[in-house]
Amino acid sequence: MSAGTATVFDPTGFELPDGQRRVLRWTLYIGYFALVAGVFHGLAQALSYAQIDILKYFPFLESYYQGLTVHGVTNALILTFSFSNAFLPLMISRALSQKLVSSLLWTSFILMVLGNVLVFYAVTTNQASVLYTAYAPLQAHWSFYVGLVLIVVSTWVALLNMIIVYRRWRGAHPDVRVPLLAFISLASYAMWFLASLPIAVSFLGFLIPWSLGLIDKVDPLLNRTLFWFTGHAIVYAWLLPAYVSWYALVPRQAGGKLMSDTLTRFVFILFLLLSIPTGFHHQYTDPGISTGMKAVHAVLTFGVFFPSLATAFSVVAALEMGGRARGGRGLLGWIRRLPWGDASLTAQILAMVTFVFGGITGLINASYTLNLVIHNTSWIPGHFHMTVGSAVGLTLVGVAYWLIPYLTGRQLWGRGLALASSWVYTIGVLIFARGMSSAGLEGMPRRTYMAQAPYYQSQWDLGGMLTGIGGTLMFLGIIFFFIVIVATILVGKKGAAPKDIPWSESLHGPVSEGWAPRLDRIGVWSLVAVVLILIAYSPWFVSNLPPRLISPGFSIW
Amino acid sequence: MKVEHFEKAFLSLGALLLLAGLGALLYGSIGAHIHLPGNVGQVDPAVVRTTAPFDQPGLRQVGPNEYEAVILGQTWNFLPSELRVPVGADVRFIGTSADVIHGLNIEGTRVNMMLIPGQISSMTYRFDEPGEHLIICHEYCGAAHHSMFGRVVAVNQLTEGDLVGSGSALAESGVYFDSEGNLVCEDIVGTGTELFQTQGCAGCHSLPSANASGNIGPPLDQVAANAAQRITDASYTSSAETPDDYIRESIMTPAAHVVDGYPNAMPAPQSLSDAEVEVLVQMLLAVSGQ
Ligand code: HEC
Ligand code: HEM
Ligand SMILES: [Cu+2]
Ligand SMILES: [Cu+2]
Repeated sequence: MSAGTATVFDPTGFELPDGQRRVLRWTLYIGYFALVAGVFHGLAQALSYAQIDILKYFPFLESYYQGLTVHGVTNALILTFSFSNAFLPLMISRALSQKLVSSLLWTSFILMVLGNVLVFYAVTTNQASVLYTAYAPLQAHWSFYVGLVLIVVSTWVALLNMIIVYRRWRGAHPDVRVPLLAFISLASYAMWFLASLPIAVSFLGFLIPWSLGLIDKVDPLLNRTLFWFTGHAIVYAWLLPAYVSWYALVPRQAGGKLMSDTLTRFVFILFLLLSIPTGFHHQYTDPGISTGMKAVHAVLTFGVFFPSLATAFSVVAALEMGGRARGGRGLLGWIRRLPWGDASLTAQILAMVTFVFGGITGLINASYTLNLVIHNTSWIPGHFHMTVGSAVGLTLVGVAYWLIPYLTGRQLWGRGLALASSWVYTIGVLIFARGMSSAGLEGMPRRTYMAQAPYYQSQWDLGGMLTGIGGTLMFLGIIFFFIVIVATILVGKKGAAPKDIPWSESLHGPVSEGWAPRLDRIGVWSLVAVVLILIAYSPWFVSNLPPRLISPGFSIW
Repeated sequence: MKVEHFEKAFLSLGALLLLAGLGALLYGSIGAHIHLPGNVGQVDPAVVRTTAPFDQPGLRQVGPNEYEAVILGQTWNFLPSELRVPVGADVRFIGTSADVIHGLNIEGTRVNMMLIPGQISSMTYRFDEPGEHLIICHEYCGAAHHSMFGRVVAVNQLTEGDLVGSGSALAESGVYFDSEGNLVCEDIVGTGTELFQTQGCAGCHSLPSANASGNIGPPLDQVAANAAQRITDASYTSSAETPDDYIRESIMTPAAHVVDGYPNAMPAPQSLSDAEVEVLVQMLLAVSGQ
């Protein structure tokens, strides 16, 4: 290909081998099954906030907190990473028209399964009711930590697979710009790889030896800081695969085009640079961290809001192009003309709507002093059910509505029920978040078995009730989703499934002159990210190393 | 193509808004003196109960209109569980944890901080009006996390007992063993019931005579009969031989025998004297029919 032509690499007619499809499919099933498994206790939690205690109908659970651990681990960790482990490699393989490396695909899958088995064992035997954050010195059984590490390693193997595919392609196409879809998929998991290192240090260096009795004590603040070092970026690791779909696939589904190739790459680079050096915004109320360092992270957090603003513009512009191409007129008339009968697109548009509120509440959380009002109140679950709980959750639901048919070769079963699932869920989550946030402003705590709290205040009644109503609708939405997916897999019509992924064209394609091609150098950008991370974190580590090993483990649940 | 213009306008406006937000934060923290907890100091959780100031949690006066409120978080209560503080004065809340991570949120104020073992947290606040505020533990800290709370009462006038040093909890409950080892207590049921309520037992156990409806531990309205039964059980391997012994053991070393069907979640008492434990035992026997 001659230099100077703007091109998207177009591998028409590409087909993934059946064996690889099967592994991807089963990886996805793990994730979606985890989603469904987790929402049962989600329902119990929402009702508990409404002072309705249904825990007695869960005879196999020892406590609310065991259930809450299940909810957080399944929905926030297993769903998201199983999805990414399948989705991102598929995207890069399709974008570059390369097969994946089968042995790595299997390795990643097996590690994910093993990790799940260990975590399942630890949690169901009530030896790990430490919630998904696993704050020391609460001490879980070693199998819990080891299981989580295996899940993280499975994501590394998936990334390695993507890198190998990329290099193979690069070898054959030295002078061509990387197709956008491949670039943003790779950038997403590259960011996550950097971000996952601190938690790996915390688990491998401290928590696992401690839970095995090899060391007696750990440093609680150090492990908490390592957790949030990974922990803010982890939310972007959940979000970016959804953004991949919003940027690269949704425009096509809506009949529009992706607005700008260059801007999109730029957005993902900003995420790579800024997602990680912001973790102290989860520790504004922590002792042992200077207010100056907290302020630095606050400023960077405002910075990482910027690429999300750009995303809001881009995806709405793409939708508008779609609506207008389908005959929509006037300022807002294009909205009505969007293909609202498409269950996959509808779920993702609704995901974007909830994310508006998720983003705004997130900015409030990040606001340094304002954080004192809402830290660890029920406002926080109100916020993140509109981000990970629906911007991501509903997008993964929407993607399933084409991806499962694509991978199984079966048509989506029950389009009406599929459409209903995302509407019911969206209405539910908005009511839920309204309840959780308003009661949170009045001090109602999160992570609390509210139905049994002796200090319950009547001023929380309204918020609690809305939480219960909204949570019930959300639960129904996910059950509808489950029915649709299981029916598709078992009885969906054979042969009538999408043959290709809904890959969008760009209005402004990639440019081969000037500085634009330098955007593609993920390795270099990763190094810049490391420098920023060192600036944001090394002052704290310098004054807090070596660790103060002071806390023995507590398993008090 | 107009869309690029819109895009530029949107992004510039967005960037401006973010900058304005940062400006407001700068004003709030520097101009309006709203401070976050920072790096105040360290303490070893193993000896925190005997390290000043946490050896004597409570309120003390440190200046003409300045006070310090020292709070120790532990599973699953705050020490002290109730604090009275003066309206219109600067109160510096100083806290830490003796075991796992706890949260400390004083509802209706902006005092909101984490209690992390090994680290000292601190925030200053001025109450403008008299009134009662909950102290809520808002970080998961184990089985009875949802029953971990306390109270701050802002009052116009402090009374003498509100400051530490002017009368310890022990003298107030007025119970002790005399030189012959006999328990001295004027009203065993009354004092015992009060201890039951103030020491957090009520959060986990139900006991109608103390208006308690907790359900993490077994109901205690039949505890005398239950105790007699448990010590004859095959699964009972500890050493109590009478119901009194069994109840005393349940309070002092809860893990010695874990009642079937319940978690091993009861904390050993941290601030009860032996005499107070005895009052609790006698009270429980009395109200459960013995
Ligand atoms: C955090 C919850 C919690 C608190 C606080 C608590 N307990 Fe318990 N208690 C339990 C649990 C759970 C059990 C059953 C497991 C066990 O035997 O350790 C129990 C068992 C008991 C028993 C034995 C009951 C039986 O039927 O055998 C007695 C007596 C008792 N507690 C008294 C008290 C007293 C007095 C206090 C206050 C000083 C108190 N508890 C505080 C949770 C609690
Ligand atoms: C039926 C749908 C759901 C309902 C009713 C629900 C309800 C709740 C409630 C009430 C809480 C707060 C519990 C507490 O703080 O005590 C909670 C926590 C949480 N939820 Fe959900 N949820 C649902 C779906 C989801 C989804 C789809 C995700 C993510 C993809 C998610 C992620 C989380 C996380 C990460 C927590 C925090 C757990 C913790 O604090 O340890 N939830 N949920
Ligand atoms: Cu964050
Ligand atoms: Cu707590």
